[in-house]
Amino acid sequence: MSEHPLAQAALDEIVRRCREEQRRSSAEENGYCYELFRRAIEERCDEAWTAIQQQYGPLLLKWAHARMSDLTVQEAEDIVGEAISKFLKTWAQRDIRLSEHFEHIGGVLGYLRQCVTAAAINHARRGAREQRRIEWARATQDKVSSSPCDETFLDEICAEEQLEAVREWIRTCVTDPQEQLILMLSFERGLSPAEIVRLYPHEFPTTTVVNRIKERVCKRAKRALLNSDYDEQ
Amino acid sequence: MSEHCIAPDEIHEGDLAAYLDGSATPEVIAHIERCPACAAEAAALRQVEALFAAALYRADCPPPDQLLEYQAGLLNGKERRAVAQHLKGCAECRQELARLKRAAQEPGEWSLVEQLKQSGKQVLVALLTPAPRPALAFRGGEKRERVYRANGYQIILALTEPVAGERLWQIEGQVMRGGTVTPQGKVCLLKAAERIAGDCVDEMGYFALENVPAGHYALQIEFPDTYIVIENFDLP
Repeated sequence: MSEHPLAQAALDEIVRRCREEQRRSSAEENGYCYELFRRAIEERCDEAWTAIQQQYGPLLLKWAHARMSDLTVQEAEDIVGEAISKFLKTWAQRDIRLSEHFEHIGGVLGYLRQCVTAAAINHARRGAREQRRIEWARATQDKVSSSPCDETFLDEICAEEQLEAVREWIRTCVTDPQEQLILMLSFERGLSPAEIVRLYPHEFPTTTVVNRIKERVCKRAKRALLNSDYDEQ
Repeated sequence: MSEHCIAPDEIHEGDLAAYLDGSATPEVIAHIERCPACAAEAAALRQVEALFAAALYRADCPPPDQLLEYQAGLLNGKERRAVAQHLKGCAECRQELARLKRAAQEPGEWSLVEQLKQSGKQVLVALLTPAPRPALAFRGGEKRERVYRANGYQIILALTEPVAGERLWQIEGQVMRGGTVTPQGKVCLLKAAERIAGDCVDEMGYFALENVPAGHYALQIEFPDTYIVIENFDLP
């Protein structure tokens, strides 16, 4: 049984009073909105959660647009969806009471706003990864004298699931320390073979050694990732 | 590889990586230009390299969720120490953490309505009401009509859809109060607190906003003693 004074009130009443509360200033806040969140989180009340989404959905969208002004409507909705999942996951994973962290609706909304910000940061990271993939491919193209390759893969958006499959392959299939180091130096830090030799002369005495290791790993990855439908892995 | 290399003794392990790096010897370059099998292999390796570059971008950084939980004090001791250690050497994560902290400390991030209330004027939030006749919404086949109401005020907006290939809307509106026109208003279309377009309400109560890109907006109409606000004004 909850100790909260509004715990016995009907949900309809809580929802109605919360709407009124939201329209007034925070000085007139009487805990109805806080109680709505408490029921959604602590009592896992779906109806309370539906009411929260209806009432606060436009506010979350506004926050998303305020954090990234060039978002499309769909992207903003995706960020809000991700933020809500994040918010719920926080409490579901830990089984902690709302009141252990927040005493007031302001704190709850502050954390919800942080969830929107975290989702916006994630969105920006995804964009940066995609940009890096395209820039890397273009930079490589600039270095080679001919154009033997198919450019269509540059136009395809690389899904985050595909990149996660690549990361998973690296985690499980690249276990040799030298290969791990070459991958990190080449693709995470963007060093050329000559720079790697200069920085790690004992591990990699020549660029030929660097290129051999790099090509060996890339060929293995090609067989595993490009020649099979790794979306379904 | 479906085809075979035309001269396997001319090319060795590492030569394709050198080719992609721009440091291959002229002999290797000449071979790849002559050999369809090696050219195809180089193209495939280029894709793999680009995937690696994307997948490993900030691969060691904690995901934003973990930064959020770190900031909120929700991580256990081991996780917290690991994130703290990473933050010492990662400027990008420190910047993101600062953004998360700022988000938590923004109780003063007022809504448009709350900001306008500071002016001392009456602030009315106009709500969308169903169009009186369904046919109105599609009159002319190109315009959508939306009617908003707030405490005796009625705002009728006719939205002209973008023509093919463009994403710019044309908006015509009329403000009335109790069936009579209400001139002397200033109309302002806002996106994330930034003014995107504006017009004055003429003597017949009309205004127009031209070439508005699709997006999420707030529409504000200012009268001498009152603001009318449409908070969630979306143009798809």
